[in-house]
Amino acid sequence: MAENIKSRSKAQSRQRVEGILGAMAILSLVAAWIIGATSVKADLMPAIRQAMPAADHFDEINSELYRAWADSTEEILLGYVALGEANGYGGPLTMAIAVSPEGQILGSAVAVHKETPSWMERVLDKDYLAKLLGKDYNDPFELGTDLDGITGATYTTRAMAEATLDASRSVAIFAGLPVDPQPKPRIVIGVPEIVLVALFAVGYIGKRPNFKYKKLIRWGSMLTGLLVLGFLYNSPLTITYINKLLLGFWPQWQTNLYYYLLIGGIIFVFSVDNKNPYCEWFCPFGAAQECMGAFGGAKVRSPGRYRDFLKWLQRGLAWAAILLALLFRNPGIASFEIFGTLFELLGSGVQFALLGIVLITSLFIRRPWCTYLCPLHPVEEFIRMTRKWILGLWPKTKTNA
Amino acid sequence: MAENKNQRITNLLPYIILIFALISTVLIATHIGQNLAAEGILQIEPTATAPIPADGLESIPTLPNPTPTLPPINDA
Repeated sequence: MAENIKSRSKAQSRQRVEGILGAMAILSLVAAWIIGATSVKADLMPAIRQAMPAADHFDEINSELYRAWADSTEEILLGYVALGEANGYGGPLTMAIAVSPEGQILGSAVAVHKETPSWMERVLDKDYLAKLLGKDYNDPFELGTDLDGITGATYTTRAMAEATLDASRSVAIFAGLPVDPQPKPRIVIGVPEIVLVALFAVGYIGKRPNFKYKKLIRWGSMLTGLLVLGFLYNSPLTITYINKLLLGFWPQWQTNLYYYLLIGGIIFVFSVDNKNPYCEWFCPFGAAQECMGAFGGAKVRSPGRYRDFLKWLQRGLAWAAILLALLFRNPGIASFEIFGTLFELLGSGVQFALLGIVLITSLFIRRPWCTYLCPLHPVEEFIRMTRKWILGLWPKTKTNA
Repeated sequence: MAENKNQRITNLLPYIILIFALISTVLIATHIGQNLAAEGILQIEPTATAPIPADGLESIPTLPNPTPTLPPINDA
């Protein structure tokens, strides 16, 4: 009896500490958001100069458009440099685009971006900017038809093309050139979107109680996720998606349907069913770990007395990844997932080392990344807690009314 | 005997998991640091060391050249 009371009071005090720490974490994230939003904006002049290096000086028409003069007496007009913006993988991406007085693109430079550094490096290494040169403001700039994208960096290259078109059209409008009306954005539905909807549906059916083929359906769903959302399209859910949502960097829905389906689907299933439809059913990286576990005979292993420490370590990592993203208004700046390292073989030496450790550990411990490191797990905990809190408020409101 | 071995492994597991998590955290922190440095947010100063000569050998401090002043020879 005395022991029962003791353990109950211990649990209560632990819950209180968790509540206080949780509230502090939320407050710090709100503070980081405010600091990030009010911080000084980047200097765009270096990118403007880089877009048109032949210019002697620039004369500002408005904050997004500059005239480029070849000489100090302003007799020879080289063209214009305009700033164009579009949404990339990590958030808004601004390009400085040099355009001739006739509307032809002469040069380009990335002014501001929120993309993962290694991804941006990949795009720049493949000389993607050179592909934009010589194009006209009336060209369609569509990936796949007018421009070739770069595998694994589709969002970044698409944003660069859209920002370039935006900038070149603003120059053409200013210069009084005949501008075709901008076509309405096409809704892009491809294999990843269709597969994602199918996986949500399969998960919904498979999670029904007493479903006979649950194990089989789950493995089928996981392997599809691994192959299609992992190796083919490298589009697993990452903390960057959550950070984009928090920062208000919501991409155009027509061209980013996958993002909305994934985030919306997860939130919808959570709020209705209180079940996570993604992690256990079709997360590509979770599936990769389970495949390794199937070879090595992995089991759920208890960390014993380190359980609480490890739980807080994981929460700390997630908190840091979100806090830094909000502070620097860059969703991917502290994202540490190693999904791209596995599915695209892209990443730093440190990421490959981490991937190696995780995969080896997966041989004998079930899903070590998900259990001890993944920043999405604490986010899931938070959604559950909030749901419980809201549901707890509901009957009171009803009674008061 | 086998049970004993299994028990020993089970006892070691919390430590293995702890080591896994700690090493991974160090790697994650390094990766985040690298990202911040790539963005110019974090500046990693190189350690100040004495310049190494081109031949790779430590430079030997040069001593002042002793130039003894001899008294003028008087031929006369």
